[in-house]
Amino acid sequence: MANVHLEALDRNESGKNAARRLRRSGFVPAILYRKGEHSAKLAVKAKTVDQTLYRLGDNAIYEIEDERGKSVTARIIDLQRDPITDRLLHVDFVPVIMTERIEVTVPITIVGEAPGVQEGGVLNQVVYEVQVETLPGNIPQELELDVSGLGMNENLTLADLKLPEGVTLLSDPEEVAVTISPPTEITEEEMEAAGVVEEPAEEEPAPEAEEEAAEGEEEE
Amino acid sequence: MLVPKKLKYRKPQRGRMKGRAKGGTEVMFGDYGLQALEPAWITNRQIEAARIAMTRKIRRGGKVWINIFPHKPVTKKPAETRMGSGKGSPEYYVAVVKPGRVMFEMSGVNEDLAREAMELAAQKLPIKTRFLVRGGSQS
Repeated sequence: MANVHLEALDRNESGKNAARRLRRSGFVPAILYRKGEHSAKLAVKAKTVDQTLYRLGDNAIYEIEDERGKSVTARIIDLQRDPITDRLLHVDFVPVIMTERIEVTVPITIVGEAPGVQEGGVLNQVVYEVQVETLPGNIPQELELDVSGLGMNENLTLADLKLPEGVTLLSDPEEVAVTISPPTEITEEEMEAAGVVEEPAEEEPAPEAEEEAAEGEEEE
Repeated sequence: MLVPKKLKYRKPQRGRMKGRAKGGTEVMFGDYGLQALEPAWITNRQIEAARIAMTRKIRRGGKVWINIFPHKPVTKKPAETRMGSGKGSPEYYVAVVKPGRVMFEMSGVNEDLAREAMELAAQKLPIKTRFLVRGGSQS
């Protein structure tokens, strides 16, 4: 994975008004932590960071070039987004040394068709990301977990992950990552026992909602 | 129905619901979520109605998480009572929900069924909501 070049502006102002002005102009406030020094307040292009996050994931390595032409290799350690608009609000960078191993979190993706699912089982992914240790230039974008041999009532652990060379798993290898369990059939009696009963006085749905609910029941 | 086990104060003040949710804004437990887009008091009856609507739809398999809890008692004066004579008595409990909060989560079902179940649940709630898929697409 090649490093992403990112031009950064020095940010002299702080506070919500200055931050809002920055965001309106297409930038996002950022900070670069530095060991033994004061952190640097920066502003980076929101679009570049967003596109990189989309293409390369959270563990991309950036080459941040400031206004004086000084370049720092860094990665994102934290970022804030607006929960409604999903817009980037702030980015935290931490410098990395390319020859020093670091701990990172890598997402797990499931590949293959499990025979257990074809038999009617339900595939439950229990773990979605794992901690690994690797060199910054060797961070995998995702780790694949092949479920093609997984039958009913069987599971895969983190030890079954295919790790690229130079990547060490830090999470517990015995931790269950994926299981296939038989579907839980809920009977009317169980529903009633759990207090799931039809309550006529519960709420009066709008006529449209009532019709839709009726249609839904017919489909079932 | 969800009710707090014990209360610090029986009759709390109403408070305000400004701003956006500062936590619980991502799908953390399941694969799909239902996110609030408006602030509201969600009553324990509404939470229960939404849960029932979802569990009925995903009858085979699947797991549902409820990420909100009605911690706040709401008081009400009896009908046709003159003003005064103190604050009314607690009537029901609500969860204070701000925009961005993921209220329900689901896993173990396919996306289409989860979406349909969440839509049924959303009809039981007094706010606009959005269906979320873990790690990405919003709709």
